[in-house]
Amino acid sequence: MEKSKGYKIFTLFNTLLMLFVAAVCLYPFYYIIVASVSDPSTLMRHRSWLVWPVGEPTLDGYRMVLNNRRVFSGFANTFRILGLGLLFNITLTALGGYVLSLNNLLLRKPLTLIVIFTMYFSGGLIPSYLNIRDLGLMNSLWALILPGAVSTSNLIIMRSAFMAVPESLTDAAKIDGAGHFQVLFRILLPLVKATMAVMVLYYGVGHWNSWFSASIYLRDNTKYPLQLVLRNILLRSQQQDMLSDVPMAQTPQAMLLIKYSLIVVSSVPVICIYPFLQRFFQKGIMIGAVKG
Amino acid sequence: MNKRIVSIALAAAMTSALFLSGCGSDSGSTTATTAPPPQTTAAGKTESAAAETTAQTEDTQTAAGISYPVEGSPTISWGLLRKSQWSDRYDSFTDLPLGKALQERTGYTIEAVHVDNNQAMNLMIASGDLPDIFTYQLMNQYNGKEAQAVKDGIIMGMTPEFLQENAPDYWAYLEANEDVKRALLTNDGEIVAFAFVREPGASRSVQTLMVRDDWCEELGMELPETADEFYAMLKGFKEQLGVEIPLALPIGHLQGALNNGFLTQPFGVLSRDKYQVDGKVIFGYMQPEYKDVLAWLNKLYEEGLMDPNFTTMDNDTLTAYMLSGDSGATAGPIGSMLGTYLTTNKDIEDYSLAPIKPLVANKGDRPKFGHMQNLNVGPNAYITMNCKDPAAAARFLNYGYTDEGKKLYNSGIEGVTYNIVDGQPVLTDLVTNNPDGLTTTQVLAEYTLSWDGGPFEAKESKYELPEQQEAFKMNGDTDAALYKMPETVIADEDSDEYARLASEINTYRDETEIKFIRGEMSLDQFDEYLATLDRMGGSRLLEIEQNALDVYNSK
Repeated sequence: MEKSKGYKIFTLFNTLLMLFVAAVCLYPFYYIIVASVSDPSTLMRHRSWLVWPVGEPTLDGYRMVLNNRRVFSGFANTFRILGLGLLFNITLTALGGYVLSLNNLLLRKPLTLIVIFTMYFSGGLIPSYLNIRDLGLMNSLWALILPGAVSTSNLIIMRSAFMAVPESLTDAAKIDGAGHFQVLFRILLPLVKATMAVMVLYYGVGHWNSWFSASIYLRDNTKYPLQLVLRNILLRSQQQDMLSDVPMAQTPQAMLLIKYSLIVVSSVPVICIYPFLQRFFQKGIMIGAVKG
Repeated sequence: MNKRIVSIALAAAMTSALFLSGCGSDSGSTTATTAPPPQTTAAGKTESAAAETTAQTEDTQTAAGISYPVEGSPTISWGLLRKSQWSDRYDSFTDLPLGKALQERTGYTIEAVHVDNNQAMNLMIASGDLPDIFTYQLMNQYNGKEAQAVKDGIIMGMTPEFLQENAPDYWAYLEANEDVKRALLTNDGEIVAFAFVREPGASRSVQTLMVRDDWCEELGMELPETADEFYAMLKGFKEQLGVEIPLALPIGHLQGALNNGFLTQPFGVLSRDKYQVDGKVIFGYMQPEYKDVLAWLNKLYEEGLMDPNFTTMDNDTLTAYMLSGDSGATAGPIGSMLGTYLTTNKDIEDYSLAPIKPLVANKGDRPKFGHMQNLNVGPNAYITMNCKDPAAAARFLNYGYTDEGKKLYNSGIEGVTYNIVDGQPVLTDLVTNNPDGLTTTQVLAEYTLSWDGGPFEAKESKYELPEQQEAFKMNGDTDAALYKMPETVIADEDSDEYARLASEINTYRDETEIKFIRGEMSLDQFDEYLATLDRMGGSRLLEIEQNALDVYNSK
């Protein structure tokens, strides 16, 4: 294949630029990994770029993290929330998106508007809290799953994806006697796989990163998801309150190590999964967006 | 192949971006919560009160009418923040050795209601679903402080009679410490809390200036006491030792140092913040003399003695500067800064840091002002309006002010965490050199409340390192008690106006101050700055503070 000179130059610079952008994004990650095996005292003294572990390399940080039993229960809870949560998210979003995508739905416009309304206005923190309390969900993992089971923006993406499928396909299925469920599960869902993958990713990352609801609704720390455990450990390293001003040998250094090791440990699963979903990613959003 | 690598790299880059945005909000909120500026409001005249009280407490303690454990094994629900100092090893306060000992000794069965953080606690308070008692810092977290919480029907205001009857030890303490009592009294004469109080006379200064004394020695200088000496020292660091940034003071620490009067006193202003002289409120930053403080800082800035990026410097950078020898002076907490630096660099031969007193006008002067925590910093314990049997709750909370309770909350269990040596509790190896590798705080968190606070009388906190002990003593040795604003309560009708004025004026002050220091605004414009402050309502702000102080003094 013959390519013009200009094209080649463009590709070269484009690649360099993209590599640079990638490096800028990756460096913080690299920094954290290197820092997590560095000698903490040397690290605290260290200024400038971190290319190689400073001081005597150590795995103490990882040892301390793995000895922390909250980390394990955190992982377990997060996976529990992730599994159950995704089941609810995907099912409800698909059903909701399907209904709103029907052209002959009674009151479609007002219904859609009502749904979109929730995207811009919410009751606020205290009403939500009271609601959860009155539903009897306090101190239960359901409080982290049910309230956000459908995210409006994802619902809209889903709806748009369904609407992008030519109507003739669903019509044909209906002529053959298919009902709503058959149309949805046999015709539409297989056609919007890419969007589904995006949904899984969006919801999944959302569950993975969320800690706030857990911090206000949960009372037992055995139920804490990983991110909340992580947050508590990280905050501990920064506490400067009054009497806690009783200082202790080793702590700041140990905390520094734990901090970096924990970030690595908690990020690894998502980093592993992400590249595999990546190929659906761009396609999926585009499909939703173009005909939105 | 190449394409593939690039696309994997891009994918990873995107992931990291996604992650970082997630982490970003976290770290943002942390910096907000840990932003240093220590509040400068507290009561005065402790020193004088201290002498009388030690004598009094002796005999009132014995007059206590409650014997523990109490009869009838009552149950009490206790709301507390779950603290990460122990939460990785225990599920609940009642599983801690402290929780167990407390239940055994008081005869109460505790039902711990744990919440994760302040926000969750605020929501619990807002929802009205409160346990019998809870420990918290309502003075910082509740709009209008504790007095308002009593009015709003959240916590119980306790009459003196109620306390005399149900919490005699606590009442005796309050009787003996007029200042503490006054800080806890509502305008209706009710006590709002079982407060976290300190032994009379205990130092309340946990911030200090610190300098590299080994460098001073090298330069043949004494530790600086005045602004000129301090300047000469920084100059020496820079010119003779080639130190990059002699004074490392990120903006938060700088403001803290100014509020604590560390750098303002040589110029005739006790503090940047508000203070009081003979019952008259003064805002340091509104004084004409404050110009000289800014001029001095501007000089440091212009001559490169201060970090040119002091407005954006973060704590990690500060730590790196101080540890690597790129800086030789800073100000901040005795524990998390002075202690951290010294322990981190303990293996480095030529590294030493020494605390110094707040700077004064003339060598040998006694500092008039310095850092001083409020008398009532909390967390305090409150009896809620949901409590079915307030008398029983009060009897439970009274325990922390008895001799036995004081020992438990402060030092833990005798023979386990401490032994009495020469009449003083000395921590055992379990605490100071833990076999499982736990830090002192982590162990203390299992056995005591001394590391945190709560309903008890706390002993003076003990720092480990000699430098820290010196800093603690040195900074406590000022006349700050005479000048510090007590914990006044802004009158109801003024509170909205006060909040608005204070926020606008403080923002303007902070911004302009930086401009003056960086020379973006000439100090000739200082009068304009004062005029603007006045136009923005500075005198009204002063008036509101003054009224609050007058009310406080007449309580």
